[in-house]
Amino acid sequence: MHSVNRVPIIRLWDLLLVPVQGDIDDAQAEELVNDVLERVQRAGCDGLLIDLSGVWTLDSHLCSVMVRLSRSAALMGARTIVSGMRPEIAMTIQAMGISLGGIQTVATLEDALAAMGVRSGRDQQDVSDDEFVRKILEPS
Amino acid sequence: MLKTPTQQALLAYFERYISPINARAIVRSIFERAGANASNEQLYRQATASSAIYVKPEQRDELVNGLRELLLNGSAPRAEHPSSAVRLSEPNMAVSVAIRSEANLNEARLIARQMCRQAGLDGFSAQKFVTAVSELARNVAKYASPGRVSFVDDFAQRKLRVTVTDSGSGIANLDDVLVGKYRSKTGMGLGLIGTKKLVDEFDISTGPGGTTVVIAVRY
Ligand SMILES: Nc1ncnc2c1ncn2[C@@H]1O[C@H](COP(=O)(O)OP(=O)(O)OP(=O)(O)O)[C@@H](O)[C@H]1O
Ligand SMILES: [Mg+2]
Repeated sequence: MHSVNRVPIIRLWDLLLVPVQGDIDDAQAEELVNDVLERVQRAGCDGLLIDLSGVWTLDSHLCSVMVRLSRSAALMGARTIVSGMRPEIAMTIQAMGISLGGIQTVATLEDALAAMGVRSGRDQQDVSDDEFVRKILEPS
Repeated sequence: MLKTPTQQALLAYFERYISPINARAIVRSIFERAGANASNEQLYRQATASSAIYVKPEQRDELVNGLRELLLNGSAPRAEHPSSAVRLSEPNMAVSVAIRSEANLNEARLIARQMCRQAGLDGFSAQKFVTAVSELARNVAKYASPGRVSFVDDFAQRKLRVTVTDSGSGIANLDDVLVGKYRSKTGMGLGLIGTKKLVDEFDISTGPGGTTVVIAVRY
C-alpha cells in the first residue's frame, strides 16, 4: 500500500542496513519491522544496522518499535546496532527518560560497520602504505 | 515603531490579508527577530518563516512571491485589491490539526516544526517541542480519537503554546502516570511524564468527558 514510502532495506554482505529518513508513520514502522524480520529469517543475516541520521523526530513510540525489532532480530540470531542519532534527538529521548533497551548505539555508520567487524579497505591501504614507507626508510 | 519605509511597506502588504492590529504584530515580530540592522535578504527570510503558518500550503508560493517582490526586487507589490487567493488566518488565532488517526501525526509535527522556525527555535529546543507535540497527539490517536491539536504563537509572552484536546474517556490513573508508577500495557508509559520534562509549562485536566493538555515553551 505504502510501497513508495517504504523504508529501504539494503543488504550488505551478511548485514542488513536500514537508513531511516524523515518522519516515518506507524504504518511504515510496522511494515519495516515485518520486512526486516522476514529478510533476517530468509537470508540468515547476523547483523542489523539502523541508521537514524536522517530522522526528524524520535518519540517514545518509535523507540519502542526499535526495541521490539531488535529483540525479535536477536531471537533470530541477528544483533542490532543503531547509528547516526543526532545530538538533539539523543538529548531529547534522554530527557524523557527513554531507554533503548540495551540496543548498542554508535556515532556513525562507519562505527557501526566496524563494530560488526567490517573494515574499510582504505584503512588497510593506509596500513600497508605505512609499512611500505617504513620499509623504504628503514636502514637495511 | 514601524516607521521606516520597509516597515510601512510590509505593514501595508500584510494589512491586505489580515486585520491591522495583527499585521502590526507580525511585522513587529519580523523586525524583532531579524534584528534592527537586518538586510532585506534577512527580513525576507524571517517574513517568509513568520507568515508561512498562517497560509494554506498551496497558497504559500503566492505569499512568498509577494514578499520577494517587496523585499528583494524593491517593487511594491501590485497595489490592487487584496488577492483573493492568499488567505492568512489571523495570528494568535489557533492553527489547528484534527487528529483522527495516527496518520495525522505527521501533519501535527510539521506544523510544530514550522512554529519553531518562525519563533527562531532550533536544535535541542525545537526537537523537544516537536517531540512533545508528537507524544500528545499520539495519545489522542491511540486512546481518544478524534481530537485536536491547536497551536498559538504568543508574541507578547514569547511562548509557543499548544493545546491538545479530545473527548475520550479520560485518564483514570493520571496521578500514577505523572509520577511514573503507571505500567503501560500499550507503550513505554513515558509519553506524558516525558513530555512534562520537555516543556516549560505543562497543564493537564482529564475526566470522563475527555482530556485537555496545554503545553508551552519559551523562545
Ligand atoms: N488522551 C488520552 N485519553 C485517554 N487515555 C489516555 C490519554 N493519554 C494517555 N492515556 C492513558 O494514559 C496512559 C499513559 O500515557 P503515556 O503517553 O504516558 O504512556 P503510553 O501512551 O502508555 O506509552 P508511550 O507514550 O510511552 O508510548 C496510557 O497508557 C493511556 O492508558
Ligand atoms: Mg503515549
